[in-house]
Amino acid sequence: MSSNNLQFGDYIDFTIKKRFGIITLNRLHRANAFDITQFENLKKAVEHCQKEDKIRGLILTNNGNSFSTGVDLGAIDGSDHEAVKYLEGTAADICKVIYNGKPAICAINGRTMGEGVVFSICCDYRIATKESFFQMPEIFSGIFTGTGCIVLFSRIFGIPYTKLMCMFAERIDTQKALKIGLIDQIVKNKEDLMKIALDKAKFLFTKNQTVLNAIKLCANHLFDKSYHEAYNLEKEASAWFESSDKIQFLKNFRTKFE
Amino acid sequence: MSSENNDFGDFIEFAIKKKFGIIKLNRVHRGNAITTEMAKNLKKAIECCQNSEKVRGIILSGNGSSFTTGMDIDEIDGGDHVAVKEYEKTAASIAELFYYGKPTICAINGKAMGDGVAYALCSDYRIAVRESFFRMPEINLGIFPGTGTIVLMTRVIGIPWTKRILMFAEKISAERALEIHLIDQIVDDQEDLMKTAMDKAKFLFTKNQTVLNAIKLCSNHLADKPYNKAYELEKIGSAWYEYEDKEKYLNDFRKKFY
Repeated sequence: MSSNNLQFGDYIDFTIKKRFGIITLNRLHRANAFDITQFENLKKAVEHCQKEDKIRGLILTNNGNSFSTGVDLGAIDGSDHEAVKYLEGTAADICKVIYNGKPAICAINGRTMGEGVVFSICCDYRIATKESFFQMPEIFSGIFTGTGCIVLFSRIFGIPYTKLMCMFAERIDTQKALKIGLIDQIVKNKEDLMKIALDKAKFLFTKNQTVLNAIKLCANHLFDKSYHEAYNLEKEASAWFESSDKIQFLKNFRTKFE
Repeated sequence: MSSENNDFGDFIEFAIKKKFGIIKLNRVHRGNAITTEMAKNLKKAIECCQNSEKVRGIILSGNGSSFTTGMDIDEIDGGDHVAVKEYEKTAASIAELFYYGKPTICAINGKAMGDGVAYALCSDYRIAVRESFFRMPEINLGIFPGTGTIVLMTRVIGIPWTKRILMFAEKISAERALEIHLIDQIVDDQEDLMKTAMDKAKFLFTKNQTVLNAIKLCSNHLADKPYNKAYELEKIGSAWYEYEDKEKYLNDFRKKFY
């Protein structure tokens, strides 16, 4: 594919396989801790996948043996509130784009902390190598985890584990993560990780994309509405075939959840 | 027990035991696949249970080795979206009757696909024989699973498993179904199945029916509301004894969730 060499700047590798955009976090000298440049470039890559018609979904993964260690506190001054706010805003935008956008698979190799956990939670299928673990250390530094993190955690794996992770900073190993629904599958090593991620991508890209995206939106957004409001939205989705322009249909349907 | 107008066509068996209406899907030569006509008769049988003062709840089960394989795709072409939608309307109103109505026990006697999964989700206690499995194959055919399935599934088993079942068409064994709360109990064989279902029915029909129905409504509908609003509704539930006409009280209470 001609766009294989698309570049989104430092710390983000990008390629396309099986019609999925493969976004690789690559800031190894800081164990894949995020600085503002990496957030900005990740956002560009994620948005590109949404806009490009040829791309049907994305895989978010990492180089090295940390998926992400969260925000790089060496690269940002914690007392600079404007800078922190901008950083948070960018991270929150990335979450929203993944949560509301095309199907996303997260392929996790190694420790996953802070924002790394949040980005994996927004994805639709999460695979991790068995030595990976998950932790939200923010409470130790008195930082509120504010990038949509609690919104997503309490929806995806419920109130008790949200508290264990955000209030008590509990470290979650892959077995536990699988049990509580933080991930969907454990694999032995990095080779298996990409193989399974691409298998899942292949399953998805061969299906009816309108139906698939409508299911994703409903799965993520009907839960917090009353039965009837939720069912009326589901009915709109199940009438997808009545719209002649499927891209426009999805765009309109998506705006109902914003 | 005097059965009034208890004829619901060839494919729906109906009897009353322990004050519960026992509805059995009986189209064994087609794996209990449901036709449009059969769905309408099933709906009538459920309505009959909701309207009869003598009936305190429902047991839904099937004859043969399938609970149901869902919509009969021999009768309705999956590609005929208009016919699918017509069928869906009846199926959705069945799900709604179960979710809002009298206590329902689902006794799953074998494989459950499509609507079979939806009906299990909207019942209050789900028992399955060990060799049962659950599957939603709709995405393979490009069909949107629109009978309230996503509304119910995200509420009952959560977002991650909803995606695995609907976006990836994963087959769920009885063991797995128990783990993720798609069912509540596994039994060894068909005999145990009906025996256990009748025991649960007996437990329920000997209790205060007003309290029982109010608990069911609150359990199903309070989670999607803000705390204060939910608590206002729960208070109406707990003030049940102040109302002289319990029948009318429950009807009014039920309406608050539409």
